[in-house]
Amino acid sequence: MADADLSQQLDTELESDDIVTVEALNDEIAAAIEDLDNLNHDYIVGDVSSCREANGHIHFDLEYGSASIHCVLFGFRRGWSTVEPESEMQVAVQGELSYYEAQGSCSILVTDVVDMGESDYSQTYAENKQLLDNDGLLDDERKQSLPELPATIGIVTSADSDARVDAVTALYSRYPDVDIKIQHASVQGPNALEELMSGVATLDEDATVDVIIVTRGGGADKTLRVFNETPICRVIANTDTPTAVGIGHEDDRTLADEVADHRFMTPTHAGEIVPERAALEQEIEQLSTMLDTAYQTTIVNQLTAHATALDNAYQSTVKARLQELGASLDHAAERHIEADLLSLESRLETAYQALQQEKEHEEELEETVEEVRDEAETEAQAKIEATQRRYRLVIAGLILLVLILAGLYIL
Amino acid sequence: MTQETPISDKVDRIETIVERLENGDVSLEEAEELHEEGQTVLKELQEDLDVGDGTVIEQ
Repeated sequence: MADADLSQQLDTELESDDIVTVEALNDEIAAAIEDLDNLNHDYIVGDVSSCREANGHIHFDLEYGSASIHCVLFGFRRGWSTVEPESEMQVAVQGELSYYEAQGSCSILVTDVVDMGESDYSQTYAENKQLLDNDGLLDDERKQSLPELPATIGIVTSADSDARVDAVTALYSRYPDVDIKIQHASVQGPNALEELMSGVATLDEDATVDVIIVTRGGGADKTLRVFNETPICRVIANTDTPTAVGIGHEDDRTLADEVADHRFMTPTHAGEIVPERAALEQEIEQLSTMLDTAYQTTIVNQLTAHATALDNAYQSTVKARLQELGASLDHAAERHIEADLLSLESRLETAYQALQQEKEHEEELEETVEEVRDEAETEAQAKIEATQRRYRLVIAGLILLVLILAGLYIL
Repeated sequence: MTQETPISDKVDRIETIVERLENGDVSLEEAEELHEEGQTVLKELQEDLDVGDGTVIEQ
């Protein structure tokens, strides 16, 4: 209903009754292609380019000269042919021509692939690489180190491209303070080589630029080939300023990547040219903490060691002094005791001698007493004996008297 | 150390200072000198981070 209204409106405005929409035209093209038998050939020959796998299907461009057509080998057909297409191969493909109405593009739905050898461009690529290698431009030894923290970064890229936006965004996401100089250059097409070379040379002459980035986004292999040309590779290789190159997608490799001082995969990866400011600040903060901690620990350890040494020295001094005083005391005590002992010994000797004398005197007295006693005893004995003799005489006289008396009595 | 000295060299110098302090074979005077040197290098490092104004110049 809406299409009918639009058609009626356009008929009126454009004064024509032969007006169609894109959708209708593409449907007509698709029907025309399918009806044309002379577009169906046994094989189509060309070089494989931009070969990639998606959802099990292999997509690639078949190129020859300046022409190319998209091909797809569906997953369920991959086992049908003896070889699978790869970049840098020249192949003959068999398949059906198909028109994709939604995008208005033609593709070959491949049913068979025949390997025809190396592609023409792969030979050109190999020759260019050999030339650069012969001049030593691929040697790792000649590569310069990138600055740790560039203040100004020069970028050679298409000014209105997604690659420019991605690269600047990636750089600022990691380090917002760097200055960026954009040198516009076509990255494909007839002017690309000259503009790329001019852009790199201009930035190399700018003394404020610390590193030069050359980048572009992904595209068909054919559109990236300018970065395999030896003139741009030589300019990139011979700059005084360090260079970093990131062309296409992750798996795209060009000779410009090879000669550059640093290769990054895509414009989004351009940020790796600069460090992360937040990480640097964190590292500095950690270093500051480590420095303060180490310093404080050192001071505490040193002061503790000094205090311990002071205590040890004090205790050693006190101990030595006490030992010295102890020794003096012992010595004095010994001398005092010795003097006392000598005095006592002297007194003992004197006393002993006095005692000895007393003993001798006593002995003398005892002898005297003994002598006196003996004399007295002798004298007493003599007296007794004399008395006894008298008594005996008396007794004998008495007995005699008795006897006389008794005799007398008897008588 | 100067503004031209690479950041990595300055970081290495601070790490060396920290190692010397941690080893404990320095006097109090040396420790103070090393700490002051480390503080100076840290300040230079902080200043080194301010490289530009973050401007984009189209040429």
